[in-house]
Amino acid sequence: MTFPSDEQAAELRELFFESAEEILQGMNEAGLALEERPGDIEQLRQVRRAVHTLKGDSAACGYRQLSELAHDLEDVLTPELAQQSGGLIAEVILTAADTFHEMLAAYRNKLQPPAGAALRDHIQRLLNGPTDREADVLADATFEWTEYERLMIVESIRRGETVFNIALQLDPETLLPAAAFELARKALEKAGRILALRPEAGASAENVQLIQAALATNQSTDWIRKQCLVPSVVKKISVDRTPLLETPARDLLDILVESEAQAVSAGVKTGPIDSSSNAEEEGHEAGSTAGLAHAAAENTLRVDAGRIDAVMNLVGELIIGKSMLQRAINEFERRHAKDPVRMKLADALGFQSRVLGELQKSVMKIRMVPVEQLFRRFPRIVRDVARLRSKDIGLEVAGQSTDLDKGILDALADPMAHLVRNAADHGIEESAERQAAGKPARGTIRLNAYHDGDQVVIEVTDDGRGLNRDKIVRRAVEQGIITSEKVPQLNESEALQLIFAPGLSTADEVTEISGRGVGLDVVKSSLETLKGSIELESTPGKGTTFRLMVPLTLASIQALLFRVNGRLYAVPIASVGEITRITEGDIHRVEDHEVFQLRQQVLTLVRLDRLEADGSAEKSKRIFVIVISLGGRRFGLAVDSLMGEEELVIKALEDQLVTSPLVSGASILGDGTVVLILNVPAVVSHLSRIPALGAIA
Amino acid sequence: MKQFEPLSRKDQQPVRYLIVDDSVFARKSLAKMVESFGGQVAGEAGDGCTAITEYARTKPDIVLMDITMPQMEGIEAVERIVQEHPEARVVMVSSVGYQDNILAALQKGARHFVQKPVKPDALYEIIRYVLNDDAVPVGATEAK
Repeated sequence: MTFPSDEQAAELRELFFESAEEILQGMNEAGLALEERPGDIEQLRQVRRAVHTLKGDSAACGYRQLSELAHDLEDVLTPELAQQSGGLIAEVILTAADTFHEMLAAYRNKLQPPAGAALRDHIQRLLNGPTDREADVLADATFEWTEYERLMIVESIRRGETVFNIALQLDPETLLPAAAFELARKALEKAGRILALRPEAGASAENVQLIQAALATNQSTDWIRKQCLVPSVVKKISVDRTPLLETPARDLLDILVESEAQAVSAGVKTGPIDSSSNAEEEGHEAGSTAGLAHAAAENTLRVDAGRIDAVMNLVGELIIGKSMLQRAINEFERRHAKDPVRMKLADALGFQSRVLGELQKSVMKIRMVPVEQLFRRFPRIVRDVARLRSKDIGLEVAGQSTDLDKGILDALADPMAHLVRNAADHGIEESAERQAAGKPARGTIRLNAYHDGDQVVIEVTDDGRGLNRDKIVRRAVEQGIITSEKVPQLNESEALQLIFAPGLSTADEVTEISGRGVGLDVVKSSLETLKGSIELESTPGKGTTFRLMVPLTLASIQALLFRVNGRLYAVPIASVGEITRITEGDIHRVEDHEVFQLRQQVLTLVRLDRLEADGSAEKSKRIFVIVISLGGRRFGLAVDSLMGEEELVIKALEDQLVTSPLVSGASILGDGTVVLILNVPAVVSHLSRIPALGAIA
Repeated sequence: MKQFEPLSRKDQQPVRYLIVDDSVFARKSLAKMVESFGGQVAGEAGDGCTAITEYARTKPDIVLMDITMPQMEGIEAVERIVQEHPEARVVMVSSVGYQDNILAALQKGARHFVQKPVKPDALYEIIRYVLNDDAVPVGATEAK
């Protein structure tokens, strides 16, 4: 296979990495399935096909080591071996997925790939057969001696010696097969005179499992057994008198004729088999190099995400253009209210905006992938943790078909893995503890995804022991995250929220006792980067639910625009609970906070311009308050005037442009005005960091 | 450490070992192991040269010989010892990856090999096998 250019080669490699990751995912799933049902031949075939593709593709990309390892693996993925190996085959497949993953990572970074010793061991063990296969290895012994050897055997018998056909199975655990072979050979030598030996002495003994010998000796069968059962080298032995012994008086000529016939039949038998297996091998290679081309020919397109982003950006520009047009038309209408052209303009605009909406949706759809892609990773994680901790944990998944932006999905992978691992590791109790608590022995982790407005909600639920509120609070006080005076003011949800506080998370004691914590602040902040948020519910003894909410897309949001101090801001409409009007007189001070009463609730009031909040305004002045509700928290945002609702195309702000984490991005309106989009979750967490936590109800 | 059924020589004396390894730690751990087999450490050596003189001095029943050592490698030491004392029972001790050296040592007269890290059960079986080896004719006549 030749690459016309480096660029094409690089592109092909990129394609390879992508398809390889999918293959590995498939292997993980099949491995888990096989663990449940070792006899599932169809799964095995799938893995085998996948490994075969991987072998061919990696060879085509010049990744020889990976290709060779895949080749070795492919050889052992046969239904026969799978049945004989019991659960081992699943273990091999899972190990292989890990090994290949590491190798791919190394290739991607242009590093030397790991050798995959563990996988090789596994494969070897599978080949050698750990249990049931042992008998077969010995049964494989054919004792097909050459004519000359047969003559020697007959000669020995004639001289009154006993000749044994001996089969030795080398211990598959030995890592030094050549040395093992040498020792076994020496043992045979000591036991008698070796008339014939397979493999022959001096031949490469790298992959020997079975040694066959014809041994002339006067010793007993038992003695030979004892002598040849070399510890840590020979695992099994069979000692039989040569069949020739039964007819010692047979004419030499007969034997010669017979052996010749056997040799001929053996020749006939081996000849075509060899050539056909070669042909098959060649066929394999040819087929596999064509693998990549085949993948491209399917009815799906692999497109670089950057290209879609470029289209998305252009759509964004068009939306801004539309809003410019809208303004121009509005102005035109004001000036020429009677002009019939304005109707035509309005029609044209209506048409354009409808198509534009469709276009935007279509482009967004391209970026959408089902959450299943994310969920697929977790069965493996749960299984690994469950094994490590000797727990019994089941994973239930719902809402896999919920679509989500690929970029968001990818960014969710780590936080989700974290939560799932936590749930399995700390949330779910051990079977005994569960049974003592009257729960089923098997713990369950549930993943669920669904759309909620223009947000996607993903839940990670476990039916474990739940969070220990008191421990969290105590720890938070110890760590100085809150002061002890504030503790009585904490409600249930606020206490649990403390688990997301940075610093608390790393505390070992909390991790062990309450069961959670490592780096949950990281989970939270990564969600905030995604303009998402995280909620948590926990009932002691019943379990914990983490609810992750992320926007459908990062490209645009439906936003509420408002002005504060002459400046234009926006908040995502999804986070707006309601809008109300109060007078300055309704505002009260509790400790350092301004609060106001909304129906039965007391809400904290936040002003974006705190300079103005020093009570200088007259009491009767009416102000708008946007009630932001997010993750069970509500607070009021005091604004000067509301500007309406608009679809905003988010322009990412470069880091050096924004110094406040409270602003998540900006957008440009049709008239060229710049709008800052508030990062609502960050505002909420900023609030919760200010001391008067209790005031937020 | 697990206790094994003690091995002794035919004259009821404890089996005597010469332990050759350049690592003190490895020697100590092997010594503990053979003691748990009821054996006795007759001597220790940190290199091949010392091993040869120690062998001549102590005449052990078993030599446990590391394969890679400074000054004189295990292979050469085996060769020299077996040349002078054909009855010597040398068991090579080696990490994986020295297969060719092990092979050479076996061809030079070593009786067996054991892989590092040494598992007591494996070593016990090997020693029993190697020792039994010498008593072969007796066992054979008994068996008949």
